[in-house]
Amino acid sequence: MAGDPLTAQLDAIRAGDRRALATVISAAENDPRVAARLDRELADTPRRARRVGLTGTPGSGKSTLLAELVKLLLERGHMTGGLLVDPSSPLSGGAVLGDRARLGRTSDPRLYVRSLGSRGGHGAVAAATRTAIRLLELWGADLVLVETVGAGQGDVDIRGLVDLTVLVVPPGLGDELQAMKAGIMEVADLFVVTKADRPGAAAAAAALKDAGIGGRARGHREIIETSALTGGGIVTLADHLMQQLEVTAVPAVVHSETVTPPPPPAPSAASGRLHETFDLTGRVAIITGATAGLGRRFAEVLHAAGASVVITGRRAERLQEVAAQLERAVVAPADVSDAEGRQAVVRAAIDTYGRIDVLVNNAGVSGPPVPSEEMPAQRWDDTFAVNITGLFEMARLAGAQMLAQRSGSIVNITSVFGLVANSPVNDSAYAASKGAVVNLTRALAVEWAMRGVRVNAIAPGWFPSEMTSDMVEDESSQTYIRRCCPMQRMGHQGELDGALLFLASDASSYCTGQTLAIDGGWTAR
Amino acid sequence: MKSWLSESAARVVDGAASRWLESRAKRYGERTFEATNRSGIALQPVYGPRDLEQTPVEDVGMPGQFPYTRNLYPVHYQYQPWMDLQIIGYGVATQLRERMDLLQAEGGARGYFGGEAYNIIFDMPTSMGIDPDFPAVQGAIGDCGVSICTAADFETLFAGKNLESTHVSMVCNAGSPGILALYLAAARNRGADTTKVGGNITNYIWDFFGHCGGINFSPRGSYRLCADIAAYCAREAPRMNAITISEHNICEAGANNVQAVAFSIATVIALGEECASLGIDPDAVIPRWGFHVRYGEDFFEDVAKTRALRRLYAKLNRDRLGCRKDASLQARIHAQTAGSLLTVQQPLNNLVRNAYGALSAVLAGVNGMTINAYDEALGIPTEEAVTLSLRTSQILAEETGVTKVTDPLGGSFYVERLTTEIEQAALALIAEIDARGGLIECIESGWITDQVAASAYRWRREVEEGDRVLVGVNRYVVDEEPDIKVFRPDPQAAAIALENLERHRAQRDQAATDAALVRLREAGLTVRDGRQIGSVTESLVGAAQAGATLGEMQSVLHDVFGRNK
Amino acid sequence: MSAPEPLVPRVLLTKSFIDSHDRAIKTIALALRDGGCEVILVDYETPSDVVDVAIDEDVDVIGVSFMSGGQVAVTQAIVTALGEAGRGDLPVVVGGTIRPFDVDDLESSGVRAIFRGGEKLERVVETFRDLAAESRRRRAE
Repeated sequence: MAGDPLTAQLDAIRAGDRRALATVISAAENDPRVAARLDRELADTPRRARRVGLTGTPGSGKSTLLAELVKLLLERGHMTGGLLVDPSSPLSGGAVLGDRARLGRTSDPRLYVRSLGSRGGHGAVAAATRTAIRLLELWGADLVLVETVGAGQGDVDIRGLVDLTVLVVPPGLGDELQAMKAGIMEVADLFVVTKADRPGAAAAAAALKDAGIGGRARGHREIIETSALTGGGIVTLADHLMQQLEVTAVPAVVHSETVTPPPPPAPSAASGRLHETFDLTGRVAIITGATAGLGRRFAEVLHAAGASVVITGRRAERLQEVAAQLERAVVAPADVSDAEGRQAVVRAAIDTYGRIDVLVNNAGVSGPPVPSEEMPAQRWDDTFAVNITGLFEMARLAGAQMLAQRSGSIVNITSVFGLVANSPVNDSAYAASKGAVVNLTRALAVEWAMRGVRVNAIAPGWFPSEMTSDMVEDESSQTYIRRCCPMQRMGHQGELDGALLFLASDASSYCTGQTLAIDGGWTAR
Repeated sequence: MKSWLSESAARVVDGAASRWLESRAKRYGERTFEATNRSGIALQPVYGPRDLEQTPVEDVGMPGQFPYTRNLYPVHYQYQPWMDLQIIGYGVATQLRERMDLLQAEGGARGYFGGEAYNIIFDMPTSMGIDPDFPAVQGAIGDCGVSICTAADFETLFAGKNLESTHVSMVCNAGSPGILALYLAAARNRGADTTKVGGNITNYIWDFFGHCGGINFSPRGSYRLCADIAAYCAREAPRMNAITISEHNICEAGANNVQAVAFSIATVIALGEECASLGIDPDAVIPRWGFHVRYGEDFFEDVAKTRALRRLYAKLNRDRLGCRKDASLQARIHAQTAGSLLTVQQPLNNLVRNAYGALSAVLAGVNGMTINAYDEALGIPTEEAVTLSLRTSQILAEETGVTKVTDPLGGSFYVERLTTEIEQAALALIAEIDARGGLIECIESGWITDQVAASAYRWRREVEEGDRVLVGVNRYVVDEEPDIKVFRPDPQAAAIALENLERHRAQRDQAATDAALVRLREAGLTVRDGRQIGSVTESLVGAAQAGATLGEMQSVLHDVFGRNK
Repeated sequence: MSAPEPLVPRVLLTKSFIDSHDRAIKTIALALRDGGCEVILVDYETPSDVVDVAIDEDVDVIGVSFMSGGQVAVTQAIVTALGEAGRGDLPVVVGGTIRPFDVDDLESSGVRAIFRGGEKLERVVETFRDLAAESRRRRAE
């Protein structure tokens, strides 16, 4: 797209034009589609800065610390970028961006500082943070400091965006540290105790020593004490940061770049670009039961729409085959009926991408038809363990992350036999478990409706899959389908794509608790 | 606890109260007529003897007795009228001197016991410790106060006056340490004995509530400097009030009365603890601390907060800071009417507002008074407006008769109860500050300024929504505003100030000035380390005598004690 | 690239680093926040600081508060510096203690609105929003 204004502006930024930089950051903030396009275009930018995230409760002194660091980094000749995130009002969307005041004068050609409002439901980093970091890198910053809101769980989001996460702790927080949200304590790569000249600094440092292992390196974290009054510790901190950044200069992410938080749905006029509301660029999706069939298809569809995917299933080698075809995919073999396995899947998503936007709860089992009076107890238990307990636990684990982000979409795969009886194919355990999914979907949806997480379900009719492979060639089965299904056929591969994309993306932003039957009319009569 | 009411009296009182409730219900039905004051304290439509029981009997007592709720002295205005301090200041020293002479001719500028008294306000650059030749402050030179940057400027301002009998009050912010030094240096240059020089330096560097901004010293640096100034003055200028805790400024920044009283007392605690940690006997310095309190928002609340402030100060200085001298327990209060309540609309209304504010201050028993000029919302007051302020005070003192009785509202069921409620609410807030790690911690975390800004915003919204009436602004609005004379500062002031400064720099002994500034830096580092407290101010006076300018001294202090961010 | 309406107007509110009176500017900041604006709140040391921050923060409108002097001189310097930086299009609003004799000079220096106290917050917010929208539209053209 040579000659278009954005490309021209990117060229200007590359040439060091800070005015273009400022304008394009605004464009990314104001329009998620621009942000998505920038993310795509800048993904391969060779220029990459060392990125440091500063987080900590309001009043911890992180703004002052950032100001001191910036001063030192400039003295050391770094082209420095600063992104200061303050919370946006959930009611008005406005924000008072006050952190810049702590920086004092910032008129330096090697320094660009930008204040960002967190702008709506995405935790403690602004939606455009990642894009802004990329733009700063394009401008020539070799060090980027990001200061988060520091108000809660959402601060862990910073981890997916930076190379090093620094948790800033003021003196006197000894007891509160114990109770501090485990998340941020775990993800921090380095602790800084500010105001070390104050009583209580030693106690805070001691409490941090008990924090155990964590961070990217999964080890004990260094604790550095600083004092803005005496200037002590800042040089040590800067040296330490640079040293650690050398070590982790290669991004920790294996298969893909870290990803940006999803933009909020853009209010826009109906136009030829409507399909963009289905865009999943920058989002992270977990798909269970993705080794084959519908699950594999779901992973491919979400990936094609732009998402990074974490695929899980019991057969690792099959997952590897699926992943091999995808650019942004992580493999996490697990059995969803196993608690540790479920945790491993969710951890893989957060460790790799820093967030979860979509969960497709696809894993499910059924068995050969059996009259209820003869149903073995084990069959019942096994069916429920996967179809409902495993699904519920996955929703809870991924949901916790989504709630922290205040955004996410869960798509449960139930069945038409969660809506109507499956006679004559007798499997009451299956029907009961799938029916449970339908109402669990409603229950979770209502519970989380105000917290940014949507929960919906798809109820497929008969589709070709491993589970149904016997039926495709079997004439009596086909007769049965012709009799019961108004469209008189099984679904084709691809006929669930639209429903999945709809529910996974912002296209369904006002839809929750619903079960969408894709069944050729099976349940319509 | 002693009881206010005997059993038989209580029976009578309770009988009357229940009959009152019945008659209220009969006449007005469900309506209770409860109200809320500025601090959010619920007010009953009437108070009675039972309300005294909120207050321990010994907390009221008589004027001149601990805890000084009712006054510092056994009798007050009957013996010693309040000191009028009209704020003056504009242009350069020569221009201001003309204004001072006019004020004196009008019967103003009167201090205690026949001396002269002036309340000088400086332009913003001076107040913040910046010389007039600093880039980008030119628009502000001599604009809202007088421009001073050398000891010679003060010598010009007070030429011919006996500084040992002239009370000079100086309203200044981050530049306070240097301005004090310039004044004391001028006194010395004029041959005065600084141990006899009396006056007041507001020394607002303690104020992180909205009056020193980003140019103040770091919070810890500021409190260290306050201790240094207090220690120096106790030794070398014992008649100089070394710090003014400005409840007024906290209110003007937007805090309500309870917040302002609590933050003021918390400041005293933080300063007292800083001194104690440096080995300074609180009884040696605290007697020269004083308060600046704001009046004019809610009449009886203003009276009650004053009484609560005096009581809290006495109790906490004794019990928490370990003071033993009576003078350390006595909160001396300089009153000022509320500037932020003055309106641009119908400015003459401000005359009336100021008079009511001044009346509440007098009924509260304050020791000094500044009545704002009615046209201050429009800019620097005109001479006519300043004279009217003075007349307001004179009418109050000499015509109205309110000075005939000390603490005339003492024993009022309402005022005594409100006094105690404000005291208790302030104590709760002080406890919260303690729980948050103390005042300095709360300043550094931004908690304090957030509290004040939220309170200011709430006030503004009450005005917008009509819940708070401002006559002429949201009620009784007129379309055409009267034409009011407005004082226009002399645009030549900046040029004169710059010329004076340039000449001063050319004429001084540069080597002596440089050496004095080096000594200042050394003293600063020593004091920062917690040793030789008082030596910074001593070195400042020395530097000022050696010709150093305010801005030069300030930048050394900023280097050593850090800047607020 | 299309320039959408400012969904979130960005406003720079500033006052001199030597002016300690911040009640008004903070109240306006909170009102603008509640009016859906993002407010960058800083003190300036020189008029060029205002321009630098305005450009880096890509604001749509600048509000300058005065409580004690410099009303006309500083405002003129800011407007001039904006022009020199090629951003003469950025609207400047002043508020605070604005004396009658300041008004003419301020208006002729190109200030878009003057708030002298007692103004309805609603109207202040509306003015900022309107100027922001206009500013963004103009830049898009």
